[in-house]
Amino acid sequence: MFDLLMVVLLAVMFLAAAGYIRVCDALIEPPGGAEEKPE
Amino acid sequence: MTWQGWLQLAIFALLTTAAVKPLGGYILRCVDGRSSLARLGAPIETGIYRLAGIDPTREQGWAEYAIALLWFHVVGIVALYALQRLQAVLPLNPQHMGSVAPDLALNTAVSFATNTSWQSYAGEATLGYFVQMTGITVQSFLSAASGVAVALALVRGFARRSAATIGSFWVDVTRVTLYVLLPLCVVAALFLVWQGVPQTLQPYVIATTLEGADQPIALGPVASQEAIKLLSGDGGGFFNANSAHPFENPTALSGLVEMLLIFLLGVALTSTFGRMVGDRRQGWALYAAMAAMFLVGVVVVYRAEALGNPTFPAAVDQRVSSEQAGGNMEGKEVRFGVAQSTLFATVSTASSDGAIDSMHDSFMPLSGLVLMANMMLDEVIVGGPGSGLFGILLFAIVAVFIAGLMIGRTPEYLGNKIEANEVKMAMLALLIVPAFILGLPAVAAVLPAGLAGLSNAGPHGFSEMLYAYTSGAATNGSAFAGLNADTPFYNLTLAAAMFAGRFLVIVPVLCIAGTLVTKGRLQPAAGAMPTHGPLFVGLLVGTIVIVGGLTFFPALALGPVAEHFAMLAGRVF
Repeated sequence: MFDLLMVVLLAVMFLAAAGYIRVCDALIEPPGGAEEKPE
Repeated sequence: MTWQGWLQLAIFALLTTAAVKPLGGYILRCVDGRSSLARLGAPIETGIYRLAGIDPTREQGWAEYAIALLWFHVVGIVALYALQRLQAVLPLNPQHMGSVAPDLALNTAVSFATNTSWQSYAGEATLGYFVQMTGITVQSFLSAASGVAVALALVRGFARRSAATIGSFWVDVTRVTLYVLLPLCVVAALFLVWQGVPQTLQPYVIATTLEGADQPIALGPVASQEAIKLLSGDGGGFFNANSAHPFENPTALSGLVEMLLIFLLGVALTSTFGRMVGDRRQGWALYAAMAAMFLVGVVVVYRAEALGNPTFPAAVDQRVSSEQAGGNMEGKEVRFGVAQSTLFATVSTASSDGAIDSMHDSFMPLSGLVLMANMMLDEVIVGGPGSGLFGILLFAIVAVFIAGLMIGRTPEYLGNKIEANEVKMAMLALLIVPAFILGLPAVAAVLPAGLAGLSNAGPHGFSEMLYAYTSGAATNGSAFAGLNADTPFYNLTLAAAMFAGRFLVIVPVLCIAGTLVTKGRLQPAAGAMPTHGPLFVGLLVGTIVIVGGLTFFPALALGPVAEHFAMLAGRVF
């Protein structure tokens, strides 16, 4: 039971980090500025 | 303060500096596959790639590199967790250690996979030889290798022009492990065995004390783990007492070499950086900034400890004499004395290693402040293998940005225009660690579960909590002691701090590498600030100290600063 809880906690940390990669990717502006970022 | 103490510091500084250039060049030749060892090990390397289904010629963009790193370490965490939970049925467990509790197993797994090595357990009473060797030691190697890999990726971002990729994570980790870490560890382990560190799979020896009682003497494959513990910036001891234990650190010579091993890769990578960007002076500038901050710290700690404890009555002799080391000897090994203990403590906290040979909890308040500040500055004073280099490069980006604002020029560094993307990511990386260092002690300070772990009241108790989360989020791993951290609350919150302090910093670092690598080189313009001279070193150190001071001084004021002034007023905690 506790093992399952620990695995869930680790999965949450992993998903948070993976989501963080996407956030960083979204924060990057292409050369020339944000307004030129393609949709 | 004695001339022997100063001489020891001078010898250490000279030997460290002497290692920078040759080892920095060797690391570069290894990761490029040009060293003799790399040519010799090519068949093994190729075999590993084939076995893992990796195409070594295929490089990765930053996001792919980051995802590979994340998966690699999550698998490592799961493996180390499983090893601890299944320990009771695993071989090479002559002391019949039972399974590790789930929360402690998760804490330990995250700790070693993130290169932190925070230990809420006593090694000799918790882990069998199989888990120590295949779990702890393996993760020490891999976490150090991935730190170096991230630093190399960032430097490629600075060095490459109009490219799309920053290298292959798999190739970087494999080469650093095979050609840098393994050979150095073999030599270090043999040296430690020569000095008296055990390397055996035999059970603990039972000795009969003078009173007639049985006392187990813990043994094990210590030397092999000790070597990577120091070299990797990991610091997790085989024994609970870490490098204060005579089987981990038997002699004065082993003590000196252990400190050198802790700093070796961190300082050498500045030279690797200079070579990769085509201007070795740039590497020396970073090394000078690291050395300046380290030397100031070690002198402050040495002085505070050598002066002794002012609350002791005058009748207590704290002077140096032929019969005693003098100074504040509480929590220090008599065989090490004040000078060596303060040097080791400063080396350990300035790097990301966290190995200890004295109890940091017993240092004077101002010393404790410096040890915490070393970690709070985000591993930039040498730091861990790779993490020190990318940490100080983050501050270099901020420094040139501030300089650009002050003089009204577009910031640039190493021929790269520093723009919004790089500054945003640098600030993100630099703010993540303080959020955990400051946020989690605040939570612990108001929850019964957090307060239950304290051994001391007042500002010293707060320092215990602050030190623990600082050590975790800065991936240092040293303990202040005095805090009972083996509780579900501390095990889980510290695991979160370590995970965030490692991976949520690495992601923006790789993102910076990804944005820089696409840029073309700027032509050096007249009036551009050189980044290899004393002016830049001063600006860099100033930026680090000011950012660190503004972020952490309020918390430090509640802990060691308050304790220092209370002590001067005669009140201790």
